[in-house]
Amino acid sequence: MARWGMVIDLDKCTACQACVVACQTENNVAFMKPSEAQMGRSIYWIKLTAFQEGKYPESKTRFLPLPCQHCDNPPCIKVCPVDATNITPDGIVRQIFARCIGCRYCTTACPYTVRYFNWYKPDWPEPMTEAQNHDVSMRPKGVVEKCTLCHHRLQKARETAIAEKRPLAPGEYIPACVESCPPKAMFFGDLEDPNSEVSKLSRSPRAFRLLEELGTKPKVIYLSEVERSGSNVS
Amino acid sequence: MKLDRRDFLFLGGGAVGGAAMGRISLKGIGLLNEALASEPLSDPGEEKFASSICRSCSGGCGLRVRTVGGKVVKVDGNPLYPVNRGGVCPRAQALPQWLYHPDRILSPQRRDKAADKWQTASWDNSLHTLAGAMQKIPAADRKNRLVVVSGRGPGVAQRLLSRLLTAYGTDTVYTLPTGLESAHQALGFMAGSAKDGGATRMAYNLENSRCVLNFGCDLLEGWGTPSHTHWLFGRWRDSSRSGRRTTLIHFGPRFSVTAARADEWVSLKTGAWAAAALGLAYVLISEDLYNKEFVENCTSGFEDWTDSGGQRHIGFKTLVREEYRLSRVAELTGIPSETLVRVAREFVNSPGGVAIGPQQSPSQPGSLSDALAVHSLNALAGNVGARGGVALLPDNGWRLPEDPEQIKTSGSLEEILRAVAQRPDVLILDEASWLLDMMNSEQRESLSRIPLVVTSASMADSTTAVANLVLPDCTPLESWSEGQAPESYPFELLSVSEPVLEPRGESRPWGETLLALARSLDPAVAARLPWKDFSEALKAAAVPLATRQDGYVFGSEVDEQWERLLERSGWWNPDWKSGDEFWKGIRDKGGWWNPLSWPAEPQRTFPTPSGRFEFYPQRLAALSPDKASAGRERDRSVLPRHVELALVGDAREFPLLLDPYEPLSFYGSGARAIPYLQQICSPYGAGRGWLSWVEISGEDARRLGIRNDDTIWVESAKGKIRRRAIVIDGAMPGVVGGPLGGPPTTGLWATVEPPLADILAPNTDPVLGIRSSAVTRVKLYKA
Repeated sequence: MARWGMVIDLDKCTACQACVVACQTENNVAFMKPSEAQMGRSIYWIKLTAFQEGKYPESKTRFLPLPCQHCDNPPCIKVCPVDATNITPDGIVRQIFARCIGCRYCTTACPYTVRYFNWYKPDWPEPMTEAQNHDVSMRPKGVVEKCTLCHHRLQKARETAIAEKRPLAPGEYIPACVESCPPKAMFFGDLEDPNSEVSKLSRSPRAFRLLEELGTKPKVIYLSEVERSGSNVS
Repeated sequence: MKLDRRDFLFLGGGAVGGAAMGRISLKGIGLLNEALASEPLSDPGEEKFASSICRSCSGGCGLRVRTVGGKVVKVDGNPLYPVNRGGVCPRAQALPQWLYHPDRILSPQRRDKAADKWQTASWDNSLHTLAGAMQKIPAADRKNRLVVVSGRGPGVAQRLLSRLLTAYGTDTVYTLPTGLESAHQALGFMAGSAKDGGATRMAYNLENSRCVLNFGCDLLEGWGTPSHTHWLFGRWRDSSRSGRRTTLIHFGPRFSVTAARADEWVSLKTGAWAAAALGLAYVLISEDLYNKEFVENCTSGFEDWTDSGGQRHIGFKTLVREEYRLSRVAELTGIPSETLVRVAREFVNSPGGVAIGPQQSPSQPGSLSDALAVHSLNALAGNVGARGGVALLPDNGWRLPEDPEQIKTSGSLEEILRAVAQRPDVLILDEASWLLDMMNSEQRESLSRIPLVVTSASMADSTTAVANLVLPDCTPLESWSEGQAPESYPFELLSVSEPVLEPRGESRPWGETLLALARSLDPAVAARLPWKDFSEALKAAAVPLATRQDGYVFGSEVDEQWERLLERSGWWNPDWKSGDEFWKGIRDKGGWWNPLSWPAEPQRTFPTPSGRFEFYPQRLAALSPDKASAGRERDRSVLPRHVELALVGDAREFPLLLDPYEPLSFYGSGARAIPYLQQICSPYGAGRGWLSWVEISGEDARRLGIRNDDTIWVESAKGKIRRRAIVIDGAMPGVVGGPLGGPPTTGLWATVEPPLADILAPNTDPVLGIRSSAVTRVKLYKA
């Protein structure tokens, strides 16, 4: 059984947010009215966060694309009273929108704050509904939503593979964010396969996971920035 | 019984009470909730993939479009397209929201005055109105009485426009500044224009650059072709590729995303680009680090020299050694001497160092003297026309058969504003909402005195607010599209794509509108544009290209490597045998390109009067406004030099400097009404959108008592505007970042706010006559 994981190379990330928009169009993520957006209520299944360290001139700003970390030991699923969120055998922390009762225990339990509550009925002015992706169900007001690693793409790829009586090939299933990345800073694949690109990258000395000390065991792995070449010239 | 979620939760509340009796659990509610959820949508139809070309900016990236049941649901990068190779920026990702936007204009609209209500009109009537107004202008006045401003990238549609205007009797098309104007012209003066006098474009071979000194260009926001530049950035930092990582050193006062993501950010005083470049030149010269072989054999004006009249002139070397000592440069720029020494050494440490800039943003293309200074660094490193460097390439873009080169294109904002201020009889705005961004409220107001303002806007925007006739264009997905090598891209490239779907409503591709307008004007004009439709014009432009003896139809990256390998051994295997085969090839694969069009050997001779790269550009000396002065003073006015930025207002009253820039979401304007782009418009701003902001440093914010998200006044000698404050701790004190663009001013989500242009006091370059800088003195206080 595969164990799906993602690697994000922070050295290559340009903070362009193509991943953010790719995810939103793929997953029918509702957008907020201007007044709500200004209150910070927009929903992003993957969000670019800026961390400012220090003050000018000794400062550094780091940009970090932040999707659901798809923890092997996810704190969110333990608090769900209705089993609306659980972990699949191949490691995807899924969200069953229709089963969610909107208690928001999971949004509180998630240390990465990547779960979003639908405070409003999604408002898609006509004819913007035409661009909705029929592979992803719409979420009504009152439920929690988050990154599913484009689980629908896995289902589709798997169905094709079964119909063609062959195993799923590497690269056949890729989430929208990874596919869109202009600097090719995102990688996706099976962490169980020691020869996959993500496995190799996850063993890099640059690899780290967010808030590892909590024991959540995220399957989104970041690669830290690299020291520049030629900096020994003095 | 029909239950909605609210009723259901209410029932659930009762059920929890009931749970005490041990009958119903929360889990049971969840399952019941799931059972009652709406049914999955019915069969949406067949899934298909098509390719297209983006037109959200002039870069023109290749797109792969997913349609389901004839509706566009996703846009991604086309992996076969050489410019972006699969990735694509958020602007293209948001195309479905543009296509299906509620503010789309789906039929021609007319009104007598900009204040009146719109009336729907037929295409015939609308074209008749425009053609009538154009014909009413006497032939002798047509040069000034019809003004056309277009933000469309170069291509067949632009060629049709030029042809139509030439036949009609106008001689200028005003275009969106690319931002490369100053740098391009400076390189033209120093390294000469094309030998045959044809048009050139300036390009960088950044894929092979190993150290990039970036003088203020927003490389990761909208510079060049965004998706290509982002792809390059990934390549620079790809540890799996052989060779070393490319170092990016960013010089600039504003803490841009590029500054944050560079290997080193060297903050410098506003406007001190040339001083910084010449300080680096000082280190290279005094430490003997420059490329002596290139400088001695291929340049002129480096050493002191004597002209044909026996007059002595100072050389670049003398000027730099005498006037740009590190102590003085440190004072002018605020950069410590040690930093300049370290960066200069790193720049020439290995081949492939390139200096780009200054700024190169459409709103601030930089001044000529700054651009000359930046290019002189490239000459000192010996990479003008070399691998990893900068070069002027022939501009082999789309051409129609027997195309006259009579039309002048001007990307000078000042010229556009002058032409518009003369109150022409007809003003045509084609993808020109950027122009409105650059106009202050007074200039916008003056547009209402023009009798006929026509816009091609596909969606309600700032141009529809001032227009009285709309000839609605459609998105690139609904029309035949063409692309060509964008400015700054190193290879020759031409591409075409078929429409992915029919135009929505009665919107019509601009190319078709131009052909129809030619037919309504008069037979002489129509005869010059004889094509039945736009695709026929495209084919007419493409077929003659089959006689080319170079290049390939698009293929994968593996094909690219193979073609390069073959050609290096002297082989070229054409992908076509006839014009029709060529047309079919580029239709199927998306286009033609020549991955070997960057000079294979470093350039040794230059088409300048001296035949060399000129530190003292003789063509510029002939143009120089400072003709009266003589001797050393005159030499100084021609050689690269630092010029103090002229700023309006008193530094004590307005102690901060506002530096306008264009964020990726709004680069080149447009796209303002697209919700997904509004929600990502500032990487620093926690994704709020729909409201313009300014970026201020943590230190200034603390001193002024301003906190993140506060509403503040930004006041200059020209006026004051309200903006939201974003505080950035890492930013340099004294500098305020001011994004152009902002919320849409018309349509469903309109927000009325005064434009940034209301408070800007722009500078014009004295030689080029183009806007060089719009940095303005301001003060900030809480509203």
